[in-house]
Amino acid sequence: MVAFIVLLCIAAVIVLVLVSFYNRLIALKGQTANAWKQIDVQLKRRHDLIPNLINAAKGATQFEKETLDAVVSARNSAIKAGASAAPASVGQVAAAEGALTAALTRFIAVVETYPDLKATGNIRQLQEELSSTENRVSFARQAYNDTATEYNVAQRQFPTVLVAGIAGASQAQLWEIAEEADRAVPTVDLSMK
Amino acid sequence: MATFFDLQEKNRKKTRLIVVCFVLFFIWLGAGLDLTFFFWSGGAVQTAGQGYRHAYTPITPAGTSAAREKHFRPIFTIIVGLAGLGLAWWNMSHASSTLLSAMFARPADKRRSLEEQTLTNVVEEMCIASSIPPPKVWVIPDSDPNALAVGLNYGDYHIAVTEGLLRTLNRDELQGVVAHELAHLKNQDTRLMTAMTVLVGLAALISEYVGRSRFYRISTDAEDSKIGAVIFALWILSVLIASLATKLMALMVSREREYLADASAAQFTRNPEALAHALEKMASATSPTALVKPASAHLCIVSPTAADIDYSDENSWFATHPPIKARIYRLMTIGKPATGI
Repeated sequence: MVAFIVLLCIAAVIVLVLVSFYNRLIALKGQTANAWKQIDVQLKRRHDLIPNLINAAKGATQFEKETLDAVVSARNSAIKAGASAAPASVGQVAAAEGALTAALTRFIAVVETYPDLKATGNIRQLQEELSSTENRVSFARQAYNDTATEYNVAQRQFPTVLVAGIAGASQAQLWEIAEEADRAVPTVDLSMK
Repeated sequence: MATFFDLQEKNRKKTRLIVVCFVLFFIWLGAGLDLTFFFWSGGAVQTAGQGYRHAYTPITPAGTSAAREKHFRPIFTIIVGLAGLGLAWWNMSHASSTLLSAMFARPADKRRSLEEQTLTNVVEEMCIASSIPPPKVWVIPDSDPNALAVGLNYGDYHIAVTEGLLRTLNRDELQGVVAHELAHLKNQDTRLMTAMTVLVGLAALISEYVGRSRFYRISTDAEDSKIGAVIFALWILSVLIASLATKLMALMVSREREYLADASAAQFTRNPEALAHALEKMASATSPTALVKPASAHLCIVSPTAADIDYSDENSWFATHPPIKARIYRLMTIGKPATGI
């Protein structure tokens, strides 16, 4: 009888421990999905900011038209890619957003060469918003990659690996830079001071 | 490779150990008294027939009953535990607003200046990087560069920076400092630090009370209660050094937490050098942060009294912060081959 009770206790402890492993995996899964959505939120914020930027820059005379056009068209194609975003088209979204980043980088570089434009309080505020938005996008990706890595490692690590099958865990894909051009370090100084 | 994940894990383990010691010590505070009375009351039963000649008998719980049996009653364990809980609860529910208003902090406003716009933006960026809800952002009207985080629960998070910090640092450095403060919030350091403050206060209180009172200077009958006497002597000793010991432990936790927050900031920004530069700039501004009271010193990113700029190993036991040079060194070596720090 005593042996039976002891066995029962041991079994209960094992079940409780397994449940906690399972919960940890499920929590990580949720965090990974949430981090992925966060990237979308920040991309949308960037798209919404660009019209303001264009309007402020248009006010300055003789601003290079092709730079503005490049930003506008890159934004439009990025929005289009985002709207049709089935899971399979993640690569397309990444490419379109990469093009937008490049266009914005050129835009900032041009603004830097216009002392009058740069001195305007309005454009400085917008520039700050723009750098912030760019940072948000990259930090959202970074947070996603950190969370996804933790999730992926937990799936393969003992002891959580024991319940990975029951929790329906599968390896999450990391956000990687696809284009070789994006890997190159931009030479533009984005610091505000 | 010393990655920030390694640093975080190491720091967490140490801190856990220290907190366990804290808790055990407070249980001992109560249990020591209980054990003493338990053994002494055992002596009282044996000598009861000879009358009440022991001076300690009146302070024994229910000690006047001559015919009673030996019962272990964890009365003081419960009382000390409850007192600790009560004090902790009271402090927890008042801490944030009290601290911030004492520093004359005002909410940061995006429209007020470009600097404050940058500040609020940087805070939001770092919240994305660290996946925590945005805290309230405050500005302290003090010209010395410093920053601190206050907060107890999810939803009660505050970050305050001085005006001097906004003027001194560039965007990347500000990002590092904000990431450091958010790391404190994310790791629940601010909560831990409040708990530590409560424990130190409680220990000092007990220590002072026992030191002044005379109730332990009662002669004991050695034949009756040797074990009781030994336990009581140990208890007195530990209570008398409690104030010092808890203070030292609290400071040790505080120092470890600074390293951990630095490591987390490196993880969030992926730019440890910027935080290192920020620390250098804060160290070179030697004027004290006048609006931050000494009691909240351990909340700041660098010591408001500038005590962490240049001190030797001897008095670093009493410091609220690790030496800035050591922190800069650790930041600069993150992700680089270990050189045996």
